[in-house]
Amino acid sequence: MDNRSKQIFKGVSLTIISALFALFGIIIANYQNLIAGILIVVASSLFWGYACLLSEIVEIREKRTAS
Amino acid sequence: MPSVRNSRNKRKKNSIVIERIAYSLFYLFSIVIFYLIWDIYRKETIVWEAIYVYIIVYLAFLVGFILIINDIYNNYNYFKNVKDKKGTELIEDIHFLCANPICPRCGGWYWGLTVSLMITLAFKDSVISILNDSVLSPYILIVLGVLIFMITTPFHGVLNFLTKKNQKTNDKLKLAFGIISGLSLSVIVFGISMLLN
Repeated sequence: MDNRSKQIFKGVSLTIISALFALFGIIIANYQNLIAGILIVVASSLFWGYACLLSEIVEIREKRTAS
Repeated sequence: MPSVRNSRNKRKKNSIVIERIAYSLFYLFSIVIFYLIWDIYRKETIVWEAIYVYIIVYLAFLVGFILIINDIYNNYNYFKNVKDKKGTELIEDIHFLCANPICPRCGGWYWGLTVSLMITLAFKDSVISILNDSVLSPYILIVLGVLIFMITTPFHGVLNFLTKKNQKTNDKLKLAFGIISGLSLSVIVFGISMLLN
């Protein structure tokens, strides 16, 4: 698997994982504890935030390879 | 032998912002999961399945966290070795948990998530009673939510590099896709709620 494909795979995985944790948080907020659920949704942003960062890293690395 | 205090201060001084944010979010998640487990454990009837689910979710988060920290430093070291100023600055001065609703990077995801949370908390019972009267199966809702998420996600902040389009075009469209992407989670939650009821 080349570098770009690896980065794409990571980005997609991180997006899906973040959504799953956010979903888990929304369900906990609805069924067990509101504040705990909201905090889990906030914590899930770790994966989303890193996926956003990764997309920019891929851009910079590709520009570097192209130049 | 170097003093432990000095080496700890040196690590703190050299740590990058995103690493500190990652650790904060990990500690936050740990505290919440331990609280949830304790909350179930102290009840008269202990639901062990729920405790096992929380432990598995926590371990999954832990593994993800370790992989992310490892990846951050791999990329950071790469940019430092090739002396790429832009890449190094990107990682050192990362913006995270963006509160800007029209941020071209994060898109409307956080807005969508917030609205999803509000919708499910406020309207869950009403929506479920309406949907129960209709012929709509909960599985259709879940599949629909997943499809909406999969279709809209590549077009806003996170994965828009996949579409190889100009990143600077149409921030409002990216925002709209981000919000829809976050809202799709509320559709999935309604489907799951119907199954649980």
